[in-house]
Amino acid sequence: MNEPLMHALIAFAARYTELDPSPTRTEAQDLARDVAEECRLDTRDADALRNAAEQFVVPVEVSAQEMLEEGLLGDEFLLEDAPCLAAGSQDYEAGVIELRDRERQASALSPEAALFDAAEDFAERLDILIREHDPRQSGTDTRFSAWTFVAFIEPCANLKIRNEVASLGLRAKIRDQVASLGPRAITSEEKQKLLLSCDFHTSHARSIRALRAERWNWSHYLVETTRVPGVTLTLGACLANATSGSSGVSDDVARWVLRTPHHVQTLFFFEQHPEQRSWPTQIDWSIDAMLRGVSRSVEESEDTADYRDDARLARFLRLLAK
Amino acid sequence: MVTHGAAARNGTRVARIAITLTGVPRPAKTTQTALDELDKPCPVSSIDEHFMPRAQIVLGRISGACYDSIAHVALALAGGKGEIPTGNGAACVRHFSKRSKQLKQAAQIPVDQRFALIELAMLAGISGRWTEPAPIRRTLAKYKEVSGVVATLNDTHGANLEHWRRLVKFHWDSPRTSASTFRNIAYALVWCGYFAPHEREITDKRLATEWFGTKREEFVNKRVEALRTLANLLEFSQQNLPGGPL
Repeated sequence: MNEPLMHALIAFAARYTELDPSPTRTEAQDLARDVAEECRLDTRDADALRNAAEQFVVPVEVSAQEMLEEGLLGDEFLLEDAPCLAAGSQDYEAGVIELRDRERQASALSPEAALFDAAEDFAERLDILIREHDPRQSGTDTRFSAWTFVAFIEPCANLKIRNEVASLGLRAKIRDQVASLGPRAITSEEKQKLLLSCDFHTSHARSIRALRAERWNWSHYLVETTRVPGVTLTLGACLANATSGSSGVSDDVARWVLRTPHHVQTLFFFEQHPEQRSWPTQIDWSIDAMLRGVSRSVEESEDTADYRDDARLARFLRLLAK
Repeated sequence: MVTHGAAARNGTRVARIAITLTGVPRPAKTTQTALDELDKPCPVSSIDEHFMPRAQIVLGRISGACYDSIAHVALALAGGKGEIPTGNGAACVRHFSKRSKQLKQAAQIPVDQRFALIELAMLAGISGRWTEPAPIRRTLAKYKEVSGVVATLNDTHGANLEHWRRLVKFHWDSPRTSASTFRNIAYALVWCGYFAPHEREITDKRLATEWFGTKREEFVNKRVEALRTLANLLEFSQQNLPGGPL
């Protein structure tokens, strides 16, 4: 081993580290020359040290955004620092806000932006649905809202935590729990109790770890940024699945799924399978099929847009509930 | 074009197609199943038979050296308990995968060496109990301690692993090593080797603030510098070998 050169490199690294701000390429070269002299390197080793100096220099012209795109800063920065870096700000919160604004202004085909908006949309609509179908508020037969709730959970169970669900008996627990509620709506509190009693959060936590491992970081992001974590995760898992090329989902369908509130997908299922109104056991068929492209044509359907309208959605729910 | 209404009228179509398609295995599910299996407790005696095949499903085709790196860490995770604890297996494999990709981006290090560096750091992390609560490490002594755990690891089988260990030791022993480079190398080693079953415990922010008491930005920048230093040392030690390998 060429020990003098190794020591010189360590000396260079030490000096380089202490320079603030980070030196330019020229300054790094000068520094390498100085260190080579101090360490009395021969010409060959001095050249080698100068070459090594090149490796230390992050070109100053590379912006934080470019570094981010290169992945230089690592995966977690996509979650934690992307907003700060992309916004060119050291203020994380301000960066988040600015990035969100940028995302909203970005192309409708941006998966991240669409997912983020869809998640917010989903959480909001879910709250509305629950409120609308709360018997204390509406006085109507609200059996369907419990079905709806289960339908929200089921696709996730069927898609990403299928094995885990089977091992935990989660689906059976949900059935029992919902059956015990009777033909009435579930409140937000009951929803949370149900989730807790089914150990749904634990299941999801594991699921999310797996999702993140597949670089589906946005589902994790959703957990922390939406108001209905357990349920929103359902959406996150489905959408994250849809955004993954490895799941065999075509881009077109992925985009459609991203743009479509999850409960609308569920409603498609009910409309397509009215015989399943008593229990959405085969909701996975619907979601699976949609993810796989069967519903590609729906993307262009006017009906899709119609169901995004809250009033029409509520009418459709009531119709199904009769 | 088939409209939504038409799809509704043709109610069985969705189910039929889905049944046909569900017969085709999807890579994502295979990976997911493997990760689920990895998360179950695994006896030491089953690491080769059960754990590693699933790790290979998750990671794809890996070299023998990479295989050995993961297997060694799996064995270390099992420790005296005789089995890899629940929830550790998948996280361990993912840690290798993630850090390897990040190392590739931050410094030009061949994959076998990347895995070896991660292995070395993880073994040090397990040996040095890095995940246990401790005061924030902000002193030179603490920075040196990190390198020291790595430099003095025993049982570093494998050429790549031993090469890295000796490099870190060389750095540790060198009179040219400054306090700031000790700090930076500590950042890099802990980043490589700090492992916990829950990935959110291993974020840059957490390591920076809770482990080292510094800002995330500094942690990342200095870590990248340190990784480049290590990569350069590796390269030099391989290319300038008049007296044989390090």
